[in-house]
Amino acid sequence: MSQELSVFMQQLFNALTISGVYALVALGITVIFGLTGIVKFSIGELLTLGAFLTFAFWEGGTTFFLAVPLAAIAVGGFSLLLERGAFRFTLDQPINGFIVSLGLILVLQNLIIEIWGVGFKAPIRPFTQVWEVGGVSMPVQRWFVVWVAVVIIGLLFMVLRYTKYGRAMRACAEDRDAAALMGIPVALVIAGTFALGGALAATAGGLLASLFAIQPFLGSQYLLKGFAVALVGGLGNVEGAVIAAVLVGLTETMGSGYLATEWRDAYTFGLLIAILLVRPRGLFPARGRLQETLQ
Amino acid sequence: MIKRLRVWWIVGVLLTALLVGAACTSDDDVDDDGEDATATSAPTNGEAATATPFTGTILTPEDVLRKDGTATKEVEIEWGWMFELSGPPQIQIFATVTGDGVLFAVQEINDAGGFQIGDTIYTIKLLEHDTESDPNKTIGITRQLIVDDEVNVIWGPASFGEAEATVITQAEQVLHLCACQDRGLTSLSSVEKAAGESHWAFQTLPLVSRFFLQGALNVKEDHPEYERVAIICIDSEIGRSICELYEESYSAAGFEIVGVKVFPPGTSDYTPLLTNLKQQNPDILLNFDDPTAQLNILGQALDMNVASSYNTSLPPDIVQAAFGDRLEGKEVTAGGIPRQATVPTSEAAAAYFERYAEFSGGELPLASFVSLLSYDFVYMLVAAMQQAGTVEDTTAIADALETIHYAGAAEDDIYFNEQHFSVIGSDGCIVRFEQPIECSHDAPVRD
Amino acid sequence: MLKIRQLSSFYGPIQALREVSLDVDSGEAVAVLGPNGAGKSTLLRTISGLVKPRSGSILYREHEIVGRSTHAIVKLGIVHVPEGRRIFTQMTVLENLMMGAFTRDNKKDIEEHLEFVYEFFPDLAEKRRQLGGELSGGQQQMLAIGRALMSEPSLLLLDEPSLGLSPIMVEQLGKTITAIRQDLGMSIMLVEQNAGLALELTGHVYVMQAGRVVLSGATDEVSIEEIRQAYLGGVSNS
Repeated sequence: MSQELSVFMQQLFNALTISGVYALVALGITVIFGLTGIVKFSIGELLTLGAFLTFAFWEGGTTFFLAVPLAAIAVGGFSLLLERGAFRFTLDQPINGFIVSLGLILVLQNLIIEIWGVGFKAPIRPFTQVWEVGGVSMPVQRWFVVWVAVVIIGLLFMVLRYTKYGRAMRACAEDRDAAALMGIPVALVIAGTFALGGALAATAGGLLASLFAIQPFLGSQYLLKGFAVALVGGLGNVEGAVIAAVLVGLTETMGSGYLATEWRDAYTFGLLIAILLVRPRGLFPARGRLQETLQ
Repeated sequence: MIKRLRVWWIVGVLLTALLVGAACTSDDDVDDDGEDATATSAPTNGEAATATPFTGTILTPEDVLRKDGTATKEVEIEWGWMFELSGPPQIQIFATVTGDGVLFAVQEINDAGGFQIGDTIYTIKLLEHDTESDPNKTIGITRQLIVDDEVNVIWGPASFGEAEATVITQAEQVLHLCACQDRGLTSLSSVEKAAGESHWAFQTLPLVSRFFLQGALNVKEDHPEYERVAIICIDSEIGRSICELYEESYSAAGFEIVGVKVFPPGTSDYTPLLTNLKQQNPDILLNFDDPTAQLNILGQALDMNVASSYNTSLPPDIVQAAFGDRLEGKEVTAGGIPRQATVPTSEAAAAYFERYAEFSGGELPLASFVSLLSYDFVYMLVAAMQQAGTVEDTTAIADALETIHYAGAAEDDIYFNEQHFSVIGSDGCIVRFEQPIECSHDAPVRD
Repeated sequence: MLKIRQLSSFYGPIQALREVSLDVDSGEAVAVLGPNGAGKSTLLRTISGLVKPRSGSILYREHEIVGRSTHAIVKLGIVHVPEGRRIFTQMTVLENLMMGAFTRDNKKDIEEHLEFVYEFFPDLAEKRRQLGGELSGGQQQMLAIGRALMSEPSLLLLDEPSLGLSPIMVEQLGKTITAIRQDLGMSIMLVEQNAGLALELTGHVYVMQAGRVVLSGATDEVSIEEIRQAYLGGVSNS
């Protein structure tokens, strides 16, 4: 392989990992938005919580492979409680949900600092091997993260498309009243979606804890990227979020690999602005009564 | 964002520049039995100590605490103490530990029954304030301490509002000691402009700029085969200027700078730019940032096999714990300024970290070494008061402080140079695969 | 089968139902007529639990259903086909029909019922893989009704099914509704603006005006003239 090609392949691999993480965060944001119209900004803090819980479980002797699902379940449950305790009262006024979620950011951030302190935690790294193929260095841990993301995204698609409850979620996203008239317990589906969104973010956080050092302010940067991805993909659109995640990951990586690195975020947000100028509702806008009244 | 990370970058730079030098000039014959992973290398003086050693009296803690039994009075004096106990976390960690050094020293002095001047035994009470990382609040606290509490001494802060506070303390002729990050770069000159002079201000953090070239020269001497240097730094005014300083120093030392990459704050995935730097085949990768970023950059660079040698200001034990297996065939230089706690490089430092751990409730905090940027200077200030024979005449005390030499935990001979910067050295450690961490102390460049 | 007594509901701050009382007997079709804003849709939405009443009672097979959630009411056998059809446009015809069977668990039953609905509406069978949004207005209405039938309700609430349909489609709709009542034995509550169609399909009529029932009677006993007067707010029932 020529050096240019192997560098390109390396950057492609770099992009793939980060796209997987962005996709998980964006999916968390997009499923919640699709169903409730609430842009849940506190999902960044749920990601941080997932990362720190993964670390805590791992530190307590659990293997990383069990620590991540445990953290996802715990954060999913926590997100469910938040829905029951706060967000369900804001369903008719998504803007209030948005405000609640901003307030939650501060509360959760302080909670995390209270428990774990302001310091960082070193990455967990269950796989330390690095595969070298044609000059491309591929840490096994990164492959693992890519595959976990792919499997979770695949599972989510299958569930949404082929299961009764997945279809019920889509029905609720398109028309909450009509879904209720089908006998779908809408409140339960919404609560479940909050749990799902939280669990997806926590999984992203847990995976991040195996790649990078984590600190209590981890969430904000991933929230921003995840939100950009969800927006590019069309808020509420699950397939769109995944495609946009790859697009944003590629733009960011290739931009900072081949052009000036310090402009990395400018590439991402430049892409976002360009796409929104041409398609104000994202590449693949979701359609539903809720989206139409909101947008 | 930029402001909040500033402290760590500078600390990082100091450490990085120093450590590469210190570590590379350390003795290479390591204990071969390899059983003791934290074997202490004998403290060595690097070649840096070219000036004639100080031949006058070097005071010790015992000298400061000595009492002759003739005292008839007991007086409690009040000093101001203000640090960033809340606010951005990176500052908070740093400021809390720096403030801790003062608290700890004061507690020790009081526990030892105070200090004596003539017929009076003095104990110290600290008036503690949280500046909340707010410059305006810092100014307010400074005024309150001087006007209402009439203190003659103020410690802190670490960064926010330090320049503004210094203008006030110098106009009021109040002794002002801090490990202030900006003073070496900007505020001394501005203070001089504002107040005419800054006779009562003392900087307990050593001067930044002189370490760069020395560090680069040390690396060149130790590793003549290394030629190519790649540098990564954060995108900010200070980050860029420090990066330039790095470039100048390493070029002057005969290295070829093959790549400089700047990344935006908040980055965790550095692989795109590391991929780019690796293309240039560097021997050494230089980086400085807050601890999280350093850990990420180092880990990813090791994965990608970017260079042979890496450096970081992370404590060496953290590096070893985080990267154990992945260090094969590579070396990482790491350490602390003035002394790291993992492998103590002097008996005084070892004893200090033991006592300090007890003071902090059994465990050393993350940046424990930073407490040494204030701890010894409390004793030095007391010594200056004793020498001047007063706890009130700040000009006489400042005059005395300029002449004091003190053997503390941080250095065997600590003093302030003409610009009132402390003169202390730093520790450097080399972390290698399956080998004990090797540390040594590099003495400061003496004026 | 359905006994509504003194039912009052609010639509935001506006009182949409004022002490409405109404009966639907088993196997009977009942029409609810009235001008726009008379409260007809709110009445259906209150029965199906989408709107919580302020006071009054709804007895369904002797069970009080006020206060139950919408999905529980669906399970009891009351299915509401809302105004504007509200099919899931992003889902296929088949998926829409399967959503209708959400409350049912027996796969074999569902399959059989699906075949039955396809027989009832052959157009839907043909377009089962198409998205709901791609259907014509008439087909969408058939889909909305077919979807409701999937849960095998005992009482079907139809809100303005003829709205926006061509005369031919309206005629076909009439046949369908009659067939549902006669062949399937379901009770039907039909809200319509099209009084002619409603009277033709039902045995009892209620006329609503400003949230009240102002006229009620067997369809063969009330005249068009009386209904017209009731629309204008002139006549009150006994």
